[in-house]
Order: sequence, then structure tokens, then C-alpha cells
Amino acid sequence: MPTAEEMLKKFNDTKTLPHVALRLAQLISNENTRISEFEKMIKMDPTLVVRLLRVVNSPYYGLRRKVDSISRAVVVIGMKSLRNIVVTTGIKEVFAKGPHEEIFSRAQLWLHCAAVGICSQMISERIFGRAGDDAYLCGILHDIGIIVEDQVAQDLFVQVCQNYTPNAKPFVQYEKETIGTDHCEIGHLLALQWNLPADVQDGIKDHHKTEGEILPSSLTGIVQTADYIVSRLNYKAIPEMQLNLSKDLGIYIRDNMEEFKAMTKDLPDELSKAKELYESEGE
Amino acid sequence: MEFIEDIFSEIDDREEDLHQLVALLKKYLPDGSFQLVLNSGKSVSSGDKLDLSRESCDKLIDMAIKENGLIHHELHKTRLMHAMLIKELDATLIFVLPTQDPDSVLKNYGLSDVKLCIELFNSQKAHLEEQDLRKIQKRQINRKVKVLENKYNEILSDNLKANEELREHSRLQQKILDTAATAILTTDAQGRITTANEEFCSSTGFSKDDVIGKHRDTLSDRSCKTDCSLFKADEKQQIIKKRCTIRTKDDRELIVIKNAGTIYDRSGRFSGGVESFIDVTDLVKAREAAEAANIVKMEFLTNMSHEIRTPLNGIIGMAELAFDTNLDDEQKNMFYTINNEASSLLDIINTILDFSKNNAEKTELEEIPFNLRILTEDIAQSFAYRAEQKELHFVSYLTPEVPTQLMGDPGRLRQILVNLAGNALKFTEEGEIYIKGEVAEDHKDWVKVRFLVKDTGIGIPKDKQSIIFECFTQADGSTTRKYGGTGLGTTISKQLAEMMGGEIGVEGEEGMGSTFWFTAVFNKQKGHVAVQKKDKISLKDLRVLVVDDNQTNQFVLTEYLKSWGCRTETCSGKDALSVLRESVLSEEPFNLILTDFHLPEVTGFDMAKEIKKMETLAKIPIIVITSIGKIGDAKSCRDIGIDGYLAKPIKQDDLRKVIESVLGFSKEENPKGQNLVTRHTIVEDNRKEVQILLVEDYPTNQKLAMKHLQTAGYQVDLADNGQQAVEAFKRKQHDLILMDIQMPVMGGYEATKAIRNLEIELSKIGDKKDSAKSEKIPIIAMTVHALKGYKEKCLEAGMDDYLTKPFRRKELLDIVEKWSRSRSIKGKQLPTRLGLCSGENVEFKEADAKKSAIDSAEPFDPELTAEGLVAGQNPKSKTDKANAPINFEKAIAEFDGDKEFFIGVLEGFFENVRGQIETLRQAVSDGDADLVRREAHSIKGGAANLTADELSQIAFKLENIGQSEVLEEGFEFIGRLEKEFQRLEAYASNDKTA
Repeated sequence: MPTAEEMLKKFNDTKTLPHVALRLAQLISNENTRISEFEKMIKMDPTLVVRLLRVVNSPYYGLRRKVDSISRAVVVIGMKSLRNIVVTTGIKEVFAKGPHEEIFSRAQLWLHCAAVGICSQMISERIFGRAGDDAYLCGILHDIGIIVEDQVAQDLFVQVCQNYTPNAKPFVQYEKETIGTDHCEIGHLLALQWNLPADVQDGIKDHHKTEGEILPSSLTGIVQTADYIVSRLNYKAIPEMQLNLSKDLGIYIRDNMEEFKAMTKDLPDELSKAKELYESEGE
Repeated sequence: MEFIEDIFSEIDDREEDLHQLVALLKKYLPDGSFQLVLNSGKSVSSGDKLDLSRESCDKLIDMAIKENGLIHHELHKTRLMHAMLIKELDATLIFVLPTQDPDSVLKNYGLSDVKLCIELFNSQKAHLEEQDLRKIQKRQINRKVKVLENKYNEILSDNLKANEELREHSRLQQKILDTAATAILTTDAQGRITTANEEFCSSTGFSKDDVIGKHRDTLSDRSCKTDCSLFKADEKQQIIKKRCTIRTKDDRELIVIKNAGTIYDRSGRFSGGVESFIDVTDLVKAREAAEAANIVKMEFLTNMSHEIRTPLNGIIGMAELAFDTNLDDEQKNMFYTINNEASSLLDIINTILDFSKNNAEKTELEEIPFNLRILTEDIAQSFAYRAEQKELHFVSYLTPEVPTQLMGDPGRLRQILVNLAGNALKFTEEGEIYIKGEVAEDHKDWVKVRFLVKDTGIGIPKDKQSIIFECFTQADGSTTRKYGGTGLGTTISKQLAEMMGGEIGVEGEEGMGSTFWFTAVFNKQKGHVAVQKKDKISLKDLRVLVVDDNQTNQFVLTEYLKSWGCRTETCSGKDALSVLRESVLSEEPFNLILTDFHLPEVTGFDMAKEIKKMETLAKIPIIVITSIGKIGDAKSCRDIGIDGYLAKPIKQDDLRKVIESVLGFSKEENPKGQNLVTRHTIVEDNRKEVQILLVEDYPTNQKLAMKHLQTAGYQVDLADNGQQAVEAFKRKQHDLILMDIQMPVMGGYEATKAIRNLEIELSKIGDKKDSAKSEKIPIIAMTVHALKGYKEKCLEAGMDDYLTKPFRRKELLDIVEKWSRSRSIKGKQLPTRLGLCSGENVEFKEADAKKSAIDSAEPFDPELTAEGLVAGQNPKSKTDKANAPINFEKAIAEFDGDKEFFIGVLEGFFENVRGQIETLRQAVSDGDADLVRREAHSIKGGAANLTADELSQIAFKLENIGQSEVLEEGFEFIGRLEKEFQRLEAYASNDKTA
């Protein structure tokens, strides 16, 4: 059975992710990256520029004035937001329809990821009052390991999906038994490789962890919460996916029920506003 | 709201709600008993205990859910229970109301109250929740606003930082602009100046306000568009570098070196330009001035050298003339010294002249055929005497591989070799000087020869070796004082070697001697095949013993002999006899002995004597090699029985000839006879081999005759007067002498007589079998005296033919051809040459003594001569161009149509005559009739050659005045001469331009 590293290596060899997106992710994670460098990199891919500007000008950001250049976009929404758009746009392609839609739908997974990303950002900003850019990034990437599995070891992964029985064992348990690793581990390695911020890495690694202490305001806590809420809204990663919330989080949500309810109330609206961000071209 | 309730149903805690509802019911219906049970799980309950069994409770709830509303059920037939589903709480209310009078009007009053209470509760709850939601939403929006605010502040501070960086950057740029030592300005797309830096202002005098907004073309006469091809769309990215001009505020024009580039904006549109320039006006002017100064300096040097040469020639000439007068020994010595010093001064001046010419790159190399072996051997010959005086060995050696029939400039090559050999001689006190030539590169049509001049002198320190070839540099300033010289010799040698396609260098160490080397490229003579070895006697397998203690000599002799196939053995002087004795007993006795005269323990003579005494060895021919001037007595050589003599430095051809001749004599006696066949004469039909000695004092005539002869392929050596001719005759074998009659120092008659006497002397010393007659060198007189009887006079003086000046080219070549062909045997026998040196002083005295007599014997007939000149030479000019002072067409035809050369000669002539007119004036006022005659004579000849007939005639008349020694009319004729000369000059300069 392949290790997570081997799978990731194979995945990278297939060059599924656009070069520019990768390069940009690295540029952004570097504190000292200048806007000019960033802009230069983006300009290498003219379709990317068009998409970015379209997203920036979408209702999601609610800008009053239209932005017509990347440098202006940076000035208006900030580097991190722009990074998120770049990453989103960059990885969107790998979630194109796969061959086993009835068992596992990549498109379905993409909607899930986008929703978790947006929800994470909302939780971070509206409940904890903190900038939600990293939460969004962590959310949109939390299940990227699944894509790797589906890309590199499709037969095994389909098997996992077929064997999965809700309420019996957690999903990751099935993955470990059949594939030898799970999407959390793979996703974590990828985040490490892209040099994403440390808490984003942790959030991806621990988003299915139920034991031990989990701080609700940590990215792990936020993404788990968002994952839970979004799955309840039927934006599920895998059909029939049953999620277990860690105990700490359950208590926290119960104690702050009104907050979460209020936030969740606005979630569908946010998702529809962000359609420009995660929907594929022509959809 | 429902879906949200659903989402969090697993987690939500509703006990509180239940309590509140029960409390409300209790408040309004204090008599009732109420119990609330959650539908899911059915476990959590609140309110009064109704003492219901679990089954009863479940049954009631199920009924209520089924009914989706209120139900009544009589439990155990005794208790009327009510159950009501409350959707909002997902719970069921089970209650019992107090029993009422059945007949009461207010029937069911309790049930309505319950319903109302529940509705009230629900509406209160919804209201509260709505309120809470609003509150929480407001709170969350506030949080998000706070987040966005922070984010905005972050972005803002980032932007400020970036802005500050930009400003910093722009401040730095401004600082760079203002600090730059070059003027910088920028323009917009229309060419209007947008910025200018401090340097721009200080170099042009404009203030920034003066120029900003103005078009940049106002700064120069020509538009940059045309001048610098700036602002062209296709010049993107490129920086244009141009030298152009900029106009200053006070309307001066600056010469600037400018860099200019175009600026394009983000979208690639041309948006302006940057120009940066340095003012080089002063530099350009300084350079021009320096160049001009250098030209002036070189011209001055050239002119000065010319100017000094003229009086110097006078000094030398007069000193030489003074020898003819009655002088005591002390005076003679003084004149000798004057002559020597003047000659070395002349050498220095010539060197400087050469240097300045080379430096001005005015020197043009000749490309004429020459024989490299003869050239190097000649040089060795000329150095041999001086080397001998210092008791130095002087050896020249050309390796047999070196082709000898080459094309090039022998004069210049000679100059290098003489320079280097001269230096070697100057700086060497003991040991030897060795000139060697070898092949560096051999190609089909050309060869690169490497020459080495090696000495055992003071040497040059390593660190000075590189500067030795620079101008006016010797290794040490003090050497100049000690050894004299300009230090230009090596510089000129370098210039010349480089002009010949070669290099020069020096090796060696201080105190260890120096080896100067240089290379030069020569074309091979076309169609020349090395034939000289054919038809000659084979010297193959000849056994030769070389007795010499000097290694270099030994080596050179052995190499020469080996190249002819001889088998050689070498030994020192003291071993010679024993080696010879042993050889007698061996299978192969020696056929020939070559011995040096100067052996450390015994002289060559003494050894020869010993050998000749021994019967077994007496028949082996002996050739003694000796130094010039040492062998005073050739007779004693013959007495001893020495068969041949050879003077150092040894020439390969000479050695061969002596060997051939020596072996030829001993042919009968030679026991083996061997391969020694008869001596062949080589028919010399190759003009290139014909060496002509031209004896002529007048430069114009020199140039003329040289040009004609060299063009025809002859090798010409030049002698300026009779004495030089005699010297040249002694130094080198010529095939023909062209002899002017009237010359300073020694005239043509005297020189001829001296040469003829020498020849007689030589024939006596030399081989008796070779008749003196066959050795006579043809001497052709060149004279302006086209008179009857002159021919006889010439023949009487020992000349063979004569040529009337001015001669035509064809006449000259015909006569030369005639006499060089008739001379079938080239080269004289070697023992003869050896004798030349011993007779040196005697012949000079003889020749000098006869001089006056011959001069005075010249007849005088002015009219006849003048008419002859005019009628014979220029009948046409009299009719067609009677007024022209010169007939260009005719003259140029004489020069084979070579107009350029003709102009050169003409200019040379003009220069001479200018000086001569002054000389004539001085001579007339000094009463020097002879000088008047001679100067006039030379002008007459030169003018006639150039078809300047009028001038020639006036000069002729002046010559007669000089001849008559009555100088009263002298000034008048000089005036006429000058006038005619000026007319000629004016005519010539007009004609040249036309």
C-alpha cells in the first residue's frame, strides 16, 4: 500500500495543479513578497487575471467601485484575499467531473469544499471576530487529500466509498484500512509542501480528529464546525457521510447556539453570493 | 428557522423552554397539573408529576402526534387526561384540569385557557427569538465590520508603506540624477523636456525652468529624430550612443557624447525619452591640438634633419677635400676627426629621420628581388673589420633551408641587421657576435625568416627588456653617455620588423649577453629555381678536416660543408697534426684541410708549414681562414704552400669557390681524383643576379637611374662619389659600374683608374692562370660632355663604354644589358678579394694624386655643348611649347609613364635647386669658382633630365662662368637661374593641379 508521500509524489508528477497557482501560493506565503512580483506572476496567465478581476468584482466582496487591475485589487481586498481567489481558481479545475459520479462526485466535493471555506470564513469573522482569510483557505483545502486519492489510487478510493457505512466506523478508518493512508494526512503533506501557514496545515490535518482538546476558535475547530454545519445542509463531501463532532465543539456550539443559528441563517445567502468564486466557467 | 432547528437538533437543549411554558400555564391556570415531554427520546420532562406510567405517557404522546393537536383520553376510566402536541418545541403537553360542574356555562373553559397560554407562550418565544436573532446578527455584523476595519487598516498601512518606499525610491533617483557627473534630461512623447539634472544646468548654463517644457530640439541645430534616430518606434529598449552637439544658453556649441533611450509605458506606448551626455568639447579640442602638434613635431623633426644634413654634407665634403691639400700629420688627423664626427652626426640624423618617417607612417617598403645570402654576408663583411679591431669573432650563418632568392626591401632588412649587429658590437668587449638566419615558416609563395643576433656583451636586465624597443630608451640612461647613440636603433628596427610582417624581441640576462631576434616575411621570387648547385663540381664525400678552436666557427664551417655532402671531422689546433698522421694510415685520408689562422697555440701558417714538411701530408690542400687585415703578406702564404685563403666572415659561396679552385689545382696530384670534375662556369643570364654599382652624386639623377634599373629587375648599389665607388668595389663583387664623371671627393676618371689598378694588383696576387682581362669589370661612363674626343678620353681612363646624359631609359637599359651579358663569368676568384684589403691605402693615394690632372684636362666649349643639348634633346619643345619651362609629356614618358614617381623626382630636384641657388650666391661672393662650376653643372644635368631646357641652358652658362674663374657675371646669371626656376616651379604647381 502506498504511503501518503508516495501518493503525493505521484500526484505532483501528473502536474494536475496549474504551475502559476503553485508558484503564487508560494509567493503569498512569503511575508516579503512584493505586490509587483505577485502581479507579474499573475500576469503570466491572462485568463487568471480575467477570472480574478471577475471574482473581485463579484457581490461576495461587495466593492462599490469596479476594480480593473490586479494591483488595485490587492490594494482593495488585500493580498490574502487575493491569494484565496488565486488558490480557489487554481484548484477548481481538478474538481472537474470524474468517472464514478454515482459513487463519488468530484463536483459534489467541490461544492462541499467551497461551502466549508465560506462557512469557515464566516465563523472566523462573525463569531470570533477575526480575519477569515486563513480559515477560508483551510476550509477550501481541507478535503484536497480526497482528490489526490481519487487521482492516484482511484480503484482503492472507489472501494472505500462503496464499503463506507454511516455510523459504523469513521470514514478515515475505511481509508486507512483500504488505501493505507487518509485524506487528512495527504492534505497535510500538500499544505506543508506549499508552505501554507502552520495553522492552515494543522486545520487540514485535524479536521476529522475527535479526541483530545480542540479549541473552537482554532482553524481546526472552525473547519470542523463548518464541515459539520455544511454537511447538515447537505453539501456533503461523500454521500451518506456521517460526521462526528468532537465533544469540546459540541459543547461550545450548544452554549453559543444562538450565534451559530444566526450565522447559519445567512450562510445560504453568502454561498449564492460567492458563486462567482467557486462555480466553473459557463455554469 | 425550521431547517436551522433541524441542524442543531442533536445539540440543542430545550429544557429551559419547557420550564418556561409550564410556568406560564401554572401562572394562568393554577389549578391544572401540567407535564411537558419532548417527543424525541420522550424522556426529558418538566412540570408536575402526573404519576403516569411510561406506557401511558407514550400512548398519550403518540395519540397527540397522530391527532396533530389536542386529544382527550380517560385513563383507567377514572382520569380524564389531555394531551397536546406543541410543534414549536417538538414536545407534548400532558395535563389534567380541575373537575368542573358539568352543567356550567363555562364548559371547556380550562382547555381554551391552555390553548391560549400555549399560543401566548409561542408568540412570546418567537418574539424573543426574533429579538435575540436581531441582537446576535447585529453583534456578528459588528464583529465582521471590525474584521474588515482591521483588514482595511492593514491594507492601508501596507499601501502607505509601499507609497513611502516609492517616495524613497524617487528621492533616491532624484539624488542620483543630481549627483550624476553626466547631464541628463528626459522628454515626453512630443520631445518636450520634462526633467533636467544639475549637471545639465551647469554644463549648458540653462536653469531647469529655462528648459522644462521646451522642445529638446531647441538645444541643437539638428533634430534628434534625424541626428540620433531617436524616437523611432523600432528602437525599443535600445540605447543609442552618438557623438553630437548641444547648444548652450550663451549660444556656444558643445561637442557631447550622448546616450539616448526611449521610454514606453505599461501598455507599451511610446511615452518619452532619456538623454544623458558628457561634454567632450575640451577633450576633442585637446586631442586635435595634440594631433596637430605631433604632426608639426614630426614635420619639424623631418625638416630639421634635412636642414642639418645639407650643411653637414658640406662639412664632410670640405673635410674630404681638405685631405687633398697640403696638410701636416696633425692637421690631417684633425680633418680625419672632423670627417668621422660629422659622419656619425649624419648617421644620427639619418636615424632620426627614419624614425620620424616611420612614426608618421610615411615609409613604404620596397618589393624588389634580392639575395638574402649575399645580403647577410655583405653585412658580416662590413662588420668584420670593426669586430676584428675589438678581437671579437664575427660569424654569420644562414641555414641551408632558408630560400635566398626573395622579394622584399633589402635596404630595410639590412638596416635592421646593421642596427642590431651594430649594437652587439658596441656593447660587446670580448667573445663573439653571431648572426643567424633560419626558417620560421615556409609556405609556397612566401617565407618567414627568423634572424638572431647573438652577442656575449653586457646584456640587458630582464626588467628592461620590454622597454628597449621604446623610443629613446636604452637599458640605462648611463649607457647613452657611455656608448653614445640615440637609442632609436632598436625602435626603428621594431617598426621595420613589424612593417615586414614580423616581430622583434630580446632574450638574455644582464652580464650574460643578449640575443636579439626578429622575424620578417618575404615573398619568394617567382619562377626561381635553386639551380646554382647544378652544373657545379660535386663535393660529395669529400673528406675535410676542420681545424678551429672556436665552436661557432667550427659549427658554421661544418654545416656549410655538410650541405655540399662533405664528410667532416673537426679538431683543435693542437690536435691537428696527430689527427692527420693517424688519417694517413686509415682507409680514408683527408682530401682537404680547413684551418683557422688564429689558433691558440700555433698559427695556421706554422701548422701549414709543419704539414707541408711531411711527405705523406704535403699533398693535401690547405685553406687558411684569416681575419681581414691580418694577412698582410699573401706571398708568404704561397711560399709556404698554402693553397687558398679566405677572409672572415666566411661566405658560403666564397668558401665553395675557394674549395673548388683549390681542388682544381691539385687535381692531377690528387691520388683518387674522386668526383672532382671540371670547373663549370655558370652562365649568368638572370638579371636578378646582376649587381650594378651606380656612381652618381646628384640625387635627382640617382633616383632616376635607380628607378630605371630596379624596374628592369637589376640589383643596384649606390655610390655617391668615386671614392665610395672604389670602396664598394673592394667590398662587394659587382657586375657593372655606371660611373658619373664629375663628382665631389673623387671624380669618375680617378675612380676608374683606381679600380683598374686594383684589378691589376688583384690579378697579381691571385691565381696566375686566370687572366686579368677576364676579371675586368665593365665601367660605363655617364657624362654630359657629348663631345667628340670624350669617348676616347673615357676609354683611355679605362672605361668600357659611355652614355650621354641626359639619357633615355632605353639607352640606359640597352647599354647595361649589353655589358652585363658580355660578362659571362660572374664573380671573381676568392684569393683575389683577399688581397684587396692590404692594398687599401696605396690605391687611394694614387687615385687622389691623379685627380687634379684629369679634372683640368676637361675641355671647354660652351656654345657647341649648349646647341647640342637643345637640338638633340628637345627639338619639339622649341616649336610647340616654346614658352613652357618644362615638357611634362615627354618627361613623364621618360619615366615610363610613372607620373607619381616623376613628381617625386621633380620635387626632389626643386628642393635641391633651392639650396643650390643659395650655395651659388655664397660661392660667387666667396669667389669660389670651382663650387660655382660644380653646382651649376649638377643643376644643368638635372634640369636636362627633366626636360627643363631653359633652366639647363642658364645653368650651363653659369657653369662656364665658374669654369672661367671670372665671376663678375655670376650674380646676374644666378638671378636669371632663379627667375627661370621660379617660373618652372609655378608652372609645375599649376600643371599638377590641372
